[in-house]
Amino acid sequence: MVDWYPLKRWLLTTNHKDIGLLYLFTSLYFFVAAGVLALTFRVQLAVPSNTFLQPDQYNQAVTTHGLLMLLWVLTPLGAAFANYFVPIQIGARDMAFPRLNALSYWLYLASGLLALSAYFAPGGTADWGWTTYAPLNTVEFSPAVGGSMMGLALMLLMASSIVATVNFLVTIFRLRAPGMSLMRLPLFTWTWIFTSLLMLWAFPAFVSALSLLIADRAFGTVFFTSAQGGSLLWGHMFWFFGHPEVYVLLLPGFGIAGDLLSTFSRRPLYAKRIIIPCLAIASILSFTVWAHHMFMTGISPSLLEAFNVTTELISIPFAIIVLAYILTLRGGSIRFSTPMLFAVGSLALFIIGGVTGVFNSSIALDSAFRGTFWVVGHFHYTIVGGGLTGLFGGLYYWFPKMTGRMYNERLGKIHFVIYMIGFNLLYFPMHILYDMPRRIYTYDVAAWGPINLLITIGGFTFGISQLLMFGNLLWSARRGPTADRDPWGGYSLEWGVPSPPPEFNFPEGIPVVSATGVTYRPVSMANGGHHEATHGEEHWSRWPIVVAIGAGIAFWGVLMGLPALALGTVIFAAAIAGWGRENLRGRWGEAIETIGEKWPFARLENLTLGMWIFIFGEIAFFGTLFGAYVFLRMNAPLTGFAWPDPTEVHNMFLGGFNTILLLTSGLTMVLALTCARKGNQVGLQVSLLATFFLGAFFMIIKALEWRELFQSNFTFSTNVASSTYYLLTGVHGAHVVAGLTALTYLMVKAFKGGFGPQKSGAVEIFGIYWGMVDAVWVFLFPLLYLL
Amino acid sequence: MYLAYAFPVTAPAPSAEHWQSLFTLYVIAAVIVAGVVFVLFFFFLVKYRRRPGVAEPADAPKVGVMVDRGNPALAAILTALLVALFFGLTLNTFALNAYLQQPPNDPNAVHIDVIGFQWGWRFVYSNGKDVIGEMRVPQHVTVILNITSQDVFHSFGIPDFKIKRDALPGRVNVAWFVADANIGSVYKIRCYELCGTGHALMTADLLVLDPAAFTTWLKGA
Repeated sequence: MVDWYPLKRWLLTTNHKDIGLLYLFTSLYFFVAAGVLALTFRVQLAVPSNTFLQPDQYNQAVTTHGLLMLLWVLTPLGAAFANYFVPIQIGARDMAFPRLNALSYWLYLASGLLALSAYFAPGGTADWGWTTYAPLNTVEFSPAVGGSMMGLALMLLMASSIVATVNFLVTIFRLRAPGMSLMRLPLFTWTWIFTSLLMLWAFPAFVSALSLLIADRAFGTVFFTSAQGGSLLWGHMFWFFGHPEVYVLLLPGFGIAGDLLSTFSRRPLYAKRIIIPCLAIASILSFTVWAHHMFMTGISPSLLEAFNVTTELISIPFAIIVLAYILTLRGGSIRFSTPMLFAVGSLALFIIGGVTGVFNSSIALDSAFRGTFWVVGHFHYTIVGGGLTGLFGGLYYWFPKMTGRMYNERLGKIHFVIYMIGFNLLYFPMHILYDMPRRIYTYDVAAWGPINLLITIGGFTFGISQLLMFGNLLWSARRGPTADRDPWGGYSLEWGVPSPPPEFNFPEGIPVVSATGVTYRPVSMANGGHHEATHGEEHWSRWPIVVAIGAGIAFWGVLMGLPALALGTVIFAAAIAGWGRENLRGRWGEAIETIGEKWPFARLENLTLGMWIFIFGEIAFFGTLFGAYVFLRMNAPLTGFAWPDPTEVHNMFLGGFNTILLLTSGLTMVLALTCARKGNQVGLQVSLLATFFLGAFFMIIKALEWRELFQSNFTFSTNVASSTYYLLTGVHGAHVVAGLTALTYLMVKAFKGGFGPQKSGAVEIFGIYWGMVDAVWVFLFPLLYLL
Repeated sequence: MYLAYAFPVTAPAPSAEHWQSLFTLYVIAAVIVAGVVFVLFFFFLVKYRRRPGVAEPADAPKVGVMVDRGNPALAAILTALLVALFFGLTLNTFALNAYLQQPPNDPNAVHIDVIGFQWGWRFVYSNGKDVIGEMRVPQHVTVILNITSQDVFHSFGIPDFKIKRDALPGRVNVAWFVADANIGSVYKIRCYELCGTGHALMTADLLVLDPAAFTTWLKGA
C-alpha cells in the first residue's frame, strides 16, 4: 500500500501552519531562481564589454529578477510567517477563512508557474524592466507573447494577494483571544495589519493598470500607445501602486526585527504606542509620494516640490521607529544569537537605505541619480537590507518553533558574517556609480570596471552565503537538537505552545491574556476536544487547489486560445460549485469567535466584514480607473485631441434606461434581504429572480450598445475616448456578470429553501456587493454618457 | 545665501558645480545624522551585552505580557529636529531646482531639438541642421534643449553636467545648460531609461566648440 497521506496533506490542507510552510518553501524556491538570474547579469556586468549575455537575454533576466524578487519572494516570505504565526499570535485556532487561505496559496503558485513559463514562450518573457514603462510595454515595441503572459501572471498574483488580505484582516480583527486587545498584539502582527492594508489599496490599483495594459496588448485599445495616455498615464498608475508596494516589502521584516531586538535584549519594545501610529502615518503617506519616481518626466514644478516634501516627511515616522528600536536595547542584557544578529543587521542596513532615500527625495539631486545605479543601491539597502535581512532573522527565530529542533548556531553566525560582507560589497559600491545607467547590458567606461567587478564579487559572496543557511536549516530540521517551547524567552503567544504547535495551536485551552501573562481556559465545547499533534483530515478540502488550477489554465488560455480558456473556466466554475456545497463549519470549534476580542468590528459577521474589506479594495480598483479617466480627459486638450461629445456618440436613451434598470435591481436586492431576514421564502425567491432579470437585461442592452457602437466605427482602438468607454463599461460589466453568477447560486439555494431568518448572511454579503456594482455605475454613467 | 553654495567645486558646467555643492551638503548632513545614530546603536549593543552572572532586567519579555514604556516627548523632539534639517536641505534643493527648471531669457541662446529614438539621439538646430549621435555647442553660451522621443520612453542625460530630463513620446521637456569646459572637450550623452535591447548603446557625444567655430560649423553644409 502506498501511503498517500503526506501528499494529500500538502495538497488538500487548509491549516494555516501547513499553508505557511508551503508559502515558505515556494518563496525560497523563487528566491533561488531570481537570485541565480541576478548572478547571470552580474557576470555580464563584471567587466566592460562582456558578452556573457545577449541584450535580450539580459533585459529578460533583469525584468524577471525584479518582478520575482518583489512579488513572488519578499511579499510571500512575509506571508509565510504571517500565515504560520499571526493566528497563533492573536490566539486563534486558524484563519477566519481556511479554504480561502489555501486558495491564496494555490493562486500564488499558479501565478508563479505562469510567470516562469513566460520565460519559455516564443520570443521570451517580459523584457521591459519591472517598472514596465509605456510605451515599451506595448505590442509595437515588445511583441513577445511572454510579456502578456507575465502581465496575466501578475494579475493572478494580485488576486491571490487580495484574497489573502481580506482573510488576514478579518482574522486579526475578529478572532483574537480574550484579553488580546489590539494594543497587545505583537509588533509583527501589527506590521502585517499595515502590510495588508497597503496591499488592499495598492494591489487593486496595480490590477487596474494591468487591465489597461492587457487591454492594449490583447484587444488593441490605445491607452499607452496614444499621446493622451502614454508614458505618463502608466507612470502615475504604476507608481501609485509601486511606492506603497515597497513598504509592503519592508514592513514584515522590519516588524520582525523590532520583536527580535526586544526579545534578545530582554527588554519590552520601547514606545510601542508611538511605533504603531508611526506605522499608520507612514502607510498613509506612502500613497502620497509616488511622483518622486517621476521627477524628470516634466510634470509641473509645483507638483515636484510637493512630492519632494511628502517624500521627506515619510522618513520622519521611520526615524522615530528606528530611534525606538535603538532605545529598546538600553538597560538590556543582549544575547547575540543568530536571529538577533540579523535583526541588528536589518536595522543597520535600513538606516543606510533610509539616509540615501533622503537624497532621492531631492528634486534637484535627482537630475543625476535618476535611472542610475545609485537608485539600485538605495532600494536594495531598504528592501533587501531592511526587509529580507529581518525576514531571515525571523526564519532563524521561528525555526525551532516550526520544526521542534534547533539550528546550528555557529553556522548561523558564519552565515550572518558572510551575508553582511557580501551585501555591503554588492550594494555599497553602487552608490559610487551614480553616473552609470541602470539596466544597461554592457559598458565601455574603463573606470566603471573595477567597481562593477567588486559588485559582482559581492553578489556571489551574498548569494553563496545563503547556501549556508539552506544547508544548516535542512540538516537541522532532521538532526538538530530538540528545542523546547521557548528557547528565546519570547513574549508572543507562539512561545507558550509546543514546538511544533499541534493542529489547533493551543492544547491547554483557549489563551486568555491579561496584564500578568497568559492563562488557558480549558475548552468545553463538544467538538473542540481534539488536540492530537497530527494534522488531520478535519482540515482537508480539495476545492482550493482545483479552483486555482482552473484559474491558472483560464489565464493561460487568454493567450493560448479558446480551448484552454474554456477548459479552465469550466474547471474553475465546477470547483466553485463544489466549494459552495462543501461545509467546513463545525469541523473544528469556533470558540474564540464567540468569546474573544472583536473590537472595533464586534457587530459584523466574519463574512460581512470580509465583504466590506473587499469592497474597500474595489474602491481602490475603480478609484484608480476613475483617476486614469480624469488624467486622460485633462491631458487630451494638451495633446491636441478633442474628446468626442458623449451625447453625440452614445445612445442616451439606452444608457439612461440601463441606469434605471440597475438602480431598480438594487431596490429588489434590498427587498430580497428584507425577505430573507424575515424568513419570507416566496418574497425572497421573487425578489432574487427580479434582481437577476434586471441585471441580465442590463447586460443584454449593454451588448446591444457595444454592437451599435462597433457598427458606427467606434471600436476599441478608435481613440483614447473609445478605449476608455469600452474598458470602464467592460470591467463594470464583468462585475455584473460575476454578480449574476453568484446570484444564480443564491437562487438555487433560495428555491431549495436554504435561507432561514438566521441564515441570511449570504444574501446580505451579496447585497453589499450588488450595491457596490450599482454605485460604480452611478459614477460611470455621467462620466461616460453626459460629460 | 544658501549653505549649499558654500562648497564650491570646479566642474565643466555651472549646473554640475551647483549640483556638486548641493550633494556635498546632503552628504555632510547624512554623515552627521547616520554617525550619531550608529554611534548610539553600537554603543548600546556593546554596553548592554549580556554579562555572565548579571540578572535579566525586571521587565524581561514573558509569554503573553505586553509592557508599555517609553517617552512620547522624544518622538516630538526628533520630529522637530528632522523638520528643521529637512527645511534647510529643501530650501537648497528648491533653489537649485528653480535654476535647473528655468532657462534664462537669453537672446543669444542656442536652441536644439533633441529627439530620442531606438537607439540614438538626433539633434536638430533652429536653422534646420540635423545631426545624429553628436551635439556640438559653443563654449560659455546658454544652450536650451527641447527633448522628446519618437518611439518609447527614453531619458536624456549628460552625466558630467548633471543634466537630465526624460524624453517622452508626445511631450516636449525643456532642459538647459552652459558649457564652461575647455574648447575641444568631449562628454558623453546617455539614455537613462531602459528602452529595449539597444539601451546600453544609446549614447551620443557632446562637443564644446569655440563660439566662432560653432557658428561656422552651424552654417556649414
